[in-house]
Amino acid sequence: MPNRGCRESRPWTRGSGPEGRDRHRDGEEVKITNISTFVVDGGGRNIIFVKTETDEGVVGWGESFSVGPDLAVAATIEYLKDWLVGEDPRNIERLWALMYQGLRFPPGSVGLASISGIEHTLWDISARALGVPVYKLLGGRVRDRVRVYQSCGGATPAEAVDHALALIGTYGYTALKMSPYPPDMNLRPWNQVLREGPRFLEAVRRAVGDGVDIGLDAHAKVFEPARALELAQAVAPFAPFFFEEPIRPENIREMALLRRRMPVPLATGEALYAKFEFNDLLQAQAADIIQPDVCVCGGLMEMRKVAAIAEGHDVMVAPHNPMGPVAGAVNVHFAAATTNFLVLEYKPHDTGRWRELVKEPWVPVDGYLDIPAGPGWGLEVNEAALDRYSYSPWRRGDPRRPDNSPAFI
Amino acid sequence: MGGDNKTVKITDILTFHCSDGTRNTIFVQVHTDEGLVGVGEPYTIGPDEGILALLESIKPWFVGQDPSRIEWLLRRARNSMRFPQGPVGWSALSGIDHALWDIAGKAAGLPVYMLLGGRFRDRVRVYHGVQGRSPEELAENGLALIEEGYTALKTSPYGPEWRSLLWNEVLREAARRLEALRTAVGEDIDVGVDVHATLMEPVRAEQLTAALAPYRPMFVEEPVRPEHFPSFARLRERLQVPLATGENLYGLAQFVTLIDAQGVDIIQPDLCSCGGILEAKKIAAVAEANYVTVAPHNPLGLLSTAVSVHLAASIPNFVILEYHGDHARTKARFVDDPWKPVDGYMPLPTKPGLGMELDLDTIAESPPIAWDRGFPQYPDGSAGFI
Repeated sequence: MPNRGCRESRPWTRGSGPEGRDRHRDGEEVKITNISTFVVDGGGRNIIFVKTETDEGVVGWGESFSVGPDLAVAATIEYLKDWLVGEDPRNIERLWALMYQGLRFPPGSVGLASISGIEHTLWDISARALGVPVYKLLGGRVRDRVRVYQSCGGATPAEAVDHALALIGTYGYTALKMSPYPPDMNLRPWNQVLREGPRFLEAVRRAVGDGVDIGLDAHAKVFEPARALELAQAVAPFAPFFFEEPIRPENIREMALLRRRMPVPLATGEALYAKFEFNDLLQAQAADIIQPDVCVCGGLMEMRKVAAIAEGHDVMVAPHNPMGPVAGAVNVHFAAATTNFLVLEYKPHDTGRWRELVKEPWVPVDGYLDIPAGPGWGLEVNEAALDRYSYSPWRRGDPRRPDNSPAFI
Repeated sequence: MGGDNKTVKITDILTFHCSDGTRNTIFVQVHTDEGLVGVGEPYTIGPDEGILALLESIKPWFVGQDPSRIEWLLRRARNSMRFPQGPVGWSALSGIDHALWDIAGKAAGLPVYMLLGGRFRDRVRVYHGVQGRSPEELAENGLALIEEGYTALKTSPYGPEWRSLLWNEVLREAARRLEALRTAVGEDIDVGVDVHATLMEPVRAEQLTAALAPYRPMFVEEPVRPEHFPSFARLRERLQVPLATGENLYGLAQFVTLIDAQGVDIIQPDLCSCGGILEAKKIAAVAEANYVTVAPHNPLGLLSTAVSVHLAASIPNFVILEYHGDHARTKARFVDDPWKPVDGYMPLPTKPGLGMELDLDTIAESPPIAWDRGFPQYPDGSAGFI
């Protein structure tokens, strides 16, 4: 397998697609000519960039979630490419259906990460063709800037405090996120987790005061709802902003029961796919805040639909966003245009390898990102740099319990 | 901060109140300093003057603002009005929504559907309303429409004097009417039935639908009054015909509540009163996640047809659009180009914006009349539903 397995593109030839593709073309000029994938080692984990080219010369960028295995996403995008070449990239809903319905089986993580990355490129092209920012195609701007939070942590409460204060000092954050667990939580007795975990939050809360919102991410590591409830109760005195993925994501009824019992707002959604799973979650009244990831939920249009369903259920949206710079840009446009947006997860790409991947990094000021005025995402990918750090195999880790059984990561 | 390249500003909102002699029509124009003008049509919900007065009083909230901020402008207005809006407020905001999308499309040089995620389909299927005093007349009128190329129709289950009949007579007449129409147009034409929320008792709606089911209606619309969603959920479990409703609902929240109650198969928002194109997109997304299709209510036609066609072009779960021969109506002279279906489908427009403009001269020569929907009564003199 080559490093960037799907970088090489095959020239499109007329006749390779479905019959009748060119029907009803009146008034349309743009056609997709190629879709390519760049799997870039961002430093410990890959960033999957997707690039779509058109016969008009307009190019769009997107990003797929690195769900792992990342080369499977690249292969899927290569497969889907043949369905899209020759189509008008501005018919986004249509092309989404062409991919989603064409795959027939619900796509899952690899399929939806692939669809999402391609879908982003279509928005970028549509907006660049008009010379407007993407949010202008979403009903316009509902806010002037986008509130972001970054995660902080450390091996001890003191280290976590140092990290929190450094982040606030540099970026002016008014919101942070941390883990509710002490290190090596899987190896500790549960009562010790309940005792030691909240000390991290307590220390940061004391250091930053009430003026900073602090979310907690339990990361779906707890299997038993009753244990999750105990942990939520233990951290509640330090007023967390939200408590994220308190239990595994699959059982929505248990999530709903937990929401009814938990003393802090319940946030979840990064592991849910497409409108249907979010709809089930919302109808079950199982979340206060949903956290779709625009790189794996199905894309920007899908996340807009999810947000509409959430709006109808009085639920806010705080997008999950641990991925690269294009993912951040897509999320900023979503946030700019969506009424029930709450706060965006963000990691500034102003240092290290990430800095090289874009021409101008987006850096929060006073804890907010500006909304870009340029066409498309308003973000310029530094394509020349994508060759520097090619695909590297990665794995999320392999936590074990004291009996050597696999724990959740 | 938060950049927009250009700062187009709204300079005025104008309202036009006119009549084709049967009912009044309200049009809205949103003007900008760039010369772009957007048009919209609030539902003539009655009283029309309520909508005109509301638009006049909220106009200052829009003047001076960027028309491309559609969601922000409408949300800001709704938030400021604070109390949940009824038909007057939602219709007024719907008209503004249309005009803002029209401006956005014209600014981009694209049909509005290209700003709604693009073209999902190439043409938009319509059903034509059909009436007749007797079963025979109904059948004759239906056949004439099929010969014009329509592949779907909608009719009332009732004859003209149904409120003075005993219920069992109503049931027999309804069956005779649909049988006559079905026999005339053949098995392959879709025929919807609109009860028009004239019944209050769910069990009567069940009986009526059962009487019609042998003639395979495409859907039964508003079988009972719209307010009590549990009745719709119960009816949907019991009816042998797909349940359609929604013209009497406003805003995302009401549609979500009905859909969550599993009370509908086909949702029928009216884009002139549900909140407009943006609200309808959200409603359609909720419907899609629940396997519900969308068949917009569209008795007003013309500009209402235009906004509905743009929505229909862009959403995956659109099924069919109501249509009443816009191009042949007296009202058609209020616009420059009354679109006409071909083979029962409305072609997609290609002009920028909504693609339909007002004829202001004709509108100025057509003053509003005093109108109401009528006051039907039952034999004991009590007020009937219309």
